Amino acid sequence: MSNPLTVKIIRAVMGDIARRGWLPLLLGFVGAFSLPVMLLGVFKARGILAGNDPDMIIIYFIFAEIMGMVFGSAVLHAMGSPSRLYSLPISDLSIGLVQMVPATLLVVCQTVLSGWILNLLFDLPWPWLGLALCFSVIFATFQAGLILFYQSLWMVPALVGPMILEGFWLKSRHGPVFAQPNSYWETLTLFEVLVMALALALAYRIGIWGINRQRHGLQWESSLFEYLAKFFNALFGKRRTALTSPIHAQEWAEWTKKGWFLPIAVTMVLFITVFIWGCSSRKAADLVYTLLIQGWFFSVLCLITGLLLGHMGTTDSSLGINQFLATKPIQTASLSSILLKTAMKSILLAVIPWLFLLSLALVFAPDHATHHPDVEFSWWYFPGVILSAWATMSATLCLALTGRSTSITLPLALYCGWLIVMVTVSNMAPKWVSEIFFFSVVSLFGVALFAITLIAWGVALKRKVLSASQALLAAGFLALIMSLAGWQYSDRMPGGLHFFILILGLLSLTVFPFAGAPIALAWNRTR
Amino acid sequence: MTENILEIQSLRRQFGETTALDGVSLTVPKGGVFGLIGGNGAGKTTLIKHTLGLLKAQSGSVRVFGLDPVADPVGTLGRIGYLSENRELSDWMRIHQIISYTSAFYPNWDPVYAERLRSDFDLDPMANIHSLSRGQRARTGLLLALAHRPDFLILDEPSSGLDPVVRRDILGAIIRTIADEGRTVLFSSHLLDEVERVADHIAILHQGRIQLSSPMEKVLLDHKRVQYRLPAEVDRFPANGIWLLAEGFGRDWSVVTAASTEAIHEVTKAMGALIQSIEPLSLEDIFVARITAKSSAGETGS
Repeated sequence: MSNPLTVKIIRAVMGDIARRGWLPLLLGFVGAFSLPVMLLGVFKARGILAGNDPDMIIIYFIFAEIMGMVFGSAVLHAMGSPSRLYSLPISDLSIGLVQMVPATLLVVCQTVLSGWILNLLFDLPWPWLGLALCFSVIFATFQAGLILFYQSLWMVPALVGPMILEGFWLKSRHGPVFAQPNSYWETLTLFEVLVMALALALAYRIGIWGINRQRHGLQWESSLFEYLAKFFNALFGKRRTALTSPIHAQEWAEWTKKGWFLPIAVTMVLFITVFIWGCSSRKAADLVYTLLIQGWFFSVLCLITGLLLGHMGTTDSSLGINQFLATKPIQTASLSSILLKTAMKSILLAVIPWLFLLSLALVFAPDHATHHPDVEFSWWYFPGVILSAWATMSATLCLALTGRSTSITLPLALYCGWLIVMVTVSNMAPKWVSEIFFFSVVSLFGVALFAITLIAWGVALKRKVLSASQALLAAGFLALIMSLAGWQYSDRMPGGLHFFILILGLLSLTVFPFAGAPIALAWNRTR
Repeated sequence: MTENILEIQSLRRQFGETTALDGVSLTVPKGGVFGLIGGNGAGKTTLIKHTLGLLKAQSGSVRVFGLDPVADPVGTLGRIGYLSENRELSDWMRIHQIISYTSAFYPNWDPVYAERLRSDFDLDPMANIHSLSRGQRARTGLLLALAHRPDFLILDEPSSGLDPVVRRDILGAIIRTIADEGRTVLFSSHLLDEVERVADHIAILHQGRIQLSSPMEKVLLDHKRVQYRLPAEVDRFPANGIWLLAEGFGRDWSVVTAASTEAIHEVTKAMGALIQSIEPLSLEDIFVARITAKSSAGETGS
């Protein structure tokens, strides 16, 4: 490390990371606390934000984890792959440290800074130092596992195992491991600091070891996984899929490549939920409550899946449609309808295990589910979950289908900008001004969504991508769900007419993709 | 009247401030191999992308088989076999899967021919695409481009970065394709010896403009190198409007020209110079002369 050349290279690499990574880091930073800011803003507007309320510990815990995950992804993206440094004349140790130490520091700084901003904005007493240090250890462990087992069949257990262990340890700092968090991690003991320092040092050592193995092309012996892979290959791999038409072939390709992701992800989440529930509460009512909450969070997973399904590029970073697909003799409208069909199938298959588990839990706790104070539960809950999942997934799918990064970053930037303005106004302006502002923005957003849907349908009809009968069908469907929403919507929801306009705008997104997807894909395919 | 597979009229394309194609007009007749040559950034790939309908003409028109490739991708792409320099394939598939997948898009897919190509190219059907070498990827792409026996085979820098064995496979594929009567190959490359071996018509694209489009035989016949001995020493070869490139000093000059023998002798007589030899040129020499002449036209007075 004392070699002047090494120091020079490290400086150059750090400069490169700063240049390449500033945007993802900035977006990650803003994105990480946008959800907490939005929800805390709503709580504050409704007058139910009380920093000392014990129930807030759960919210604090969840927010912290979401922020950690979002910013962690941005840090991973910003750091890039260590393989780009392998041909430079520096040691494995230097590469490891250059790759891991700044990432650790970034995670600590982000957690402390975001936490401090949240505390300041919403007058909260939440402690962040312990969490920041623990997140940095978890992140370093994740990074080490990723480096050591990159492209190996052992990667998933190597990432999940230590993270579960460290997750339990983090949980133990907030009360019993198998129960709801009931205390803040306010003071750091010497023992805790030593444990985290040791874990961090171990993660660095493993990461450097991993770099040494990767750099010199050393393969992992993975006989168990190799055996399993060969077994499944023998079972399924040789099966020749008889693809009879372009539509059939493309449906097969979309499903095999990306469509299965959502059902598998949901099944895994449910598995973990049942595992944690089995280890902690074991009360059917708690499981019902968790599953009902998860139903609304299903849309968050669909948001990511939509981006994944709409990504047509060759690599993760290239969003433009790959030429292999672009030069296939298939109409763009057919291609987009296949994608929408895959999205729909994906949602419906993902909902099945969740519905099954919820039904099972409801058998044991029916009364609790229908009378839970925190969860709206009526007949419209299930179509609401599915429609919101569909609207979210197909909207992000259309954004990704454009094949342009600005289509994704611009709405994100607008959203973040809106949050910043909203928080600023709600904290600095008189209450009546902030209320008028907030509800006006909400209504405008609803109107904008509706207008975008109408414009997309108009363009699609003009280009003859869709027929008049399809437009009538969509209009009929939209009118039906809007009427049902109007019938169900009552003054029990805050915001009155403003929120109702927003809901109508969001409902229009359910038919938007039928016009939006072919237009977006055509824009991507022919530039 | 010769039927044209591809007709491009006054095609213009700009990417921001950069003009990639500047009023290109080009026709590719049915049958034979059409070589499209040009340096890096000349606009070859942009031209090909317009042909495939991946870029929409900002002005001008593109017709493939008489159809607009943007408006009718099925009608045009269904009859085109395409292999690009990037050799983009679906990396998550296996060889047998990508063959099965691709075959579904082409009604004329010939499974026996596909299997023969797979065997000739020594491709393991169970191999993962992402683990293939560059040469194997090129062969896989070639198999997929050829197995539906396309009317129009488009190869965009197919040999770039490949070893001689794979390059031979690609040239073999071109020859096999044109062996089928009426099929056409558009072959873009800057490996000019390959183009010279297989093309029977070439177009030189430079800075987004077509510099020359002519049958290969005529191009080779027209262009020649004339070795001059001038009556007196000069710093610059006298401008006379017939030469493309002049190299030399003093009294001895080597000149590349596309003028007729009569015109050469006329000009030589007017200069009072002596012709020492007239030699044929390779395509590479012609290309260099054409491109250099255009790049330095202002300086040389050509």
